[in-house]
Amino acid sequence: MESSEKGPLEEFANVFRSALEHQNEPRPWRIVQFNPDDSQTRYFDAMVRQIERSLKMSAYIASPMVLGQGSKLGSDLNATTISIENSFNIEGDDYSREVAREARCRRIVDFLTKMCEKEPVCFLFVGAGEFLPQDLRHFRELIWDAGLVDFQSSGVMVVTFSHRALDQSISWPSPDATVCLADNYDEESRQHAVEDLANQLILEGKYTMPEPATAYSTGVLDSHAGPATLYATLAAIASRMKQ
Amino acid sequence: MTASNHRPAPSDRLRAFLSHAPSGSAKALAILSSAESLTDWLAERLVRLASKNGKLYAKPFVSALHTCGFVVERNGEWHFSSSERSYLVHSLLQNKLLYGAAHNELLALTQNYTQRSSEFDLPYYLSLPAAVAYHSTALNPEKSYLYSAAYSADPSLTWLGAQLAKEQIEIGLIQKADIAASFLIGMSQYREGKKNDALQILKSIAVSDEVRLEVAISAHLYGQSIRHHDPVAAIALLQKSLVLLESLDDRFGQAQVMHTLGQALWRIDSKSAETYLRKSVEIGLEIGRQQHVSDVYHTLGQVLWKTQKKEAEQLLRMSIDIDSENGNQSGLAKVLHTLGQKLRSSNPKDAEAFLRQSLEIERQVGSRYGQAQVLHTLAQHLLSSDEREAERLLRESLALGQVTNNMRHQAIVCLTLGKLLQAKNPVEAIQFFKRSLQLNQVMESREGERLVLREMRRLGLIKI
Repeated sequence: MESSEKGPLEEFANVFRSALEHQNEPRPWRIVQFNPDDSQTRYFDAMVRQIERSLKMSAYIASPMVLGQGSKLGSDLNATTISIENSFNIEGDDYSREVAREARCRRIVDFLTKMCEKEPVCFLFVGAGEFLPQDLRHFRELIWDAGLVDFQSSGVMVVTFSHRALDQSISWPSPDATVCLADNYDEESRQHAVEDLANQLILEGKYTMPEPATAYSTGVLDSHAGPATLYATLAAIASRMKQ
Repeated sequence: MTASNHRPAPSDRLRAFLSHAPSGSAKALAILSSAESLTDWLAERLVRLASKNGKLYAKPFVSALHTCGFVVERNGEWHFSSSERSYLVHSLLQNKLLYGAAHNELLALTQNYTQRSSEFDLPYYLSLPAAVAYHSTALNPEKSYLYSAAYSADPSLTWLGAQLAKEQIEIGLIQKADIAASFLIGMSQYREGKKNDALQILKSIAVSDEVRLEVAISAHLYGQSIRHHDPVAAIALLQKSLVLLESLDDRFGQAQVMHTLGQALWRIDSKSAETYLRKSVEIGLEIGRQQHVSDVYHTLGQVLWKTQKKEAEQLLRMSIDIDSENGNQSGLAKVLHTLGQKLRSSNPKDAEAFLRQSLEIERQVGSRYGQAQVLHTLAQHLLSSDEREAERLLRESLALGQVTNNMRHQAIVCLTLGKLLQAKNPVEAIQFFKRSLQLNQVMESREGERLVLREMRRLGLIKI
């Protein structure tokens, strides 16, 4: 999903997520959402922890690898804080960490391939253009290519939402569909929005007849150029109606 | 507490929301911005706090927010989009009473988080030191020193602390030069590869007179970064870092700085450099940091090779032993590469075996840059005995250099390929020389350019 900087990307992401979670009975989608503004999903290792939490997987305990007297790494990677006292070695490409990461991802892929036929899973990358390329590359290599790619038409889906083009060096598989969201409504999409809103109002029992629902919806839509401010207005109206 | 003069304007969608929302909504949204992220439970609690005497009902208000575009869902939690958050944070600052109440409430929730989170649905960030620092500093800016505890080996935690500190700097709550806050921001940028921006911040921390770990680490990292173009300043900074770490009784830090000092001093004062490196090993052995000891053996093995070859070889082999024992494959591949390079003239058979072993490990580890480097060395080693194999290895090395977008490596391999092919395929050789020249020009490497031009001149490919 792509849009300009001012486009209704977040609005669409929220609606899309809600539809997957609530409108796919009897197999609602399990959603794992990644966002670069969320410290729990900004980096790949954090994404992995989030997948385990969202899928309610049991804690991952790697075999301890002794690195020196009194120093263990990999014995409890599920800990929220891994404290290596006063370490300056922040650039080290630690082999044991790589191995533990791969094992952990393999476990996730195995779990998902068993689960996805009964319960489909969707990975949403909101603000996908803002992630560091290496983190997206790790996802591609260690999660997607490691087994999920075989289930892309039967229970696993990746959707990216981005205000700007994704880094080409990551070479994501070609998407089945690309949607470019316009900033504002045109005549046709405005009419669709009027119908959608009128139907929703009838569904929620605010109106019983289509004519007044459509008239109200047209009135609301007339004062909005695009979905971004419309959704904010509708949320405000909804919060007022429920008071 | 003084708010920054620069107040952002509300976004169109925030304006649209507020113009249709029930009375008290602006205050309710503002109080929600006091939390970095929210659960519905926490949001409702804060909204109730904001509308104690008002008529705004928390549950439907929070429920409706989920359909706004400026609320970004997480996984069971949510936060405001950055532009709306920025506006709301400034709004909350205008209402001192509400601001104090909100941060007091949130700070209280950080205490005994584990116990409370089993009772209430709390956002995860409240369990972290960054949350304690953020809410404490909001209530009393003198507590910004608490950000020191937010620095962590886990980059996610450091990043979160850096974001919160940055926000409090932007609203004028804490000084830009605040050591704990700016250190977090600098280290977060450093880890994300934004080295130039990071080093500017670390440089300003490094000059501080305070006896703090942040100053010692900044002096170490900044000193290390300038050791090639300003060795005198670098050494002064590294020595300052060492003195600070001695005051702080940080033994591992001392060992690490001594390692860097030994490397920086080698060309200037090899005797002192050797002393630092040997002392670094000594401390590493004392505190049981085997990996560190192996790294310094590797450095010592390289620098002592010319003068004390026997000991140097022994040190490199000891480094190999430690890395093998600890399963540090990546370190092992690098030392095998060094030993292979060093033994090329005196023991070509062993050299080839070490290089092939290094290559195999780099392949297993999946380090494309490591493979590219070893392939180049191995090719150079085979140039005189198996030209065909050498050419094949060089082409593979070049391809890996392209994949990893490493221009320096490509420039070097192109030069070697040009030299190799100049007799049997002069047309292609010239292409490689030209490519190497171009790459050096793009990188503005005058030394690289000179090397290629000298080679082309030597072969009579250019006249001047």
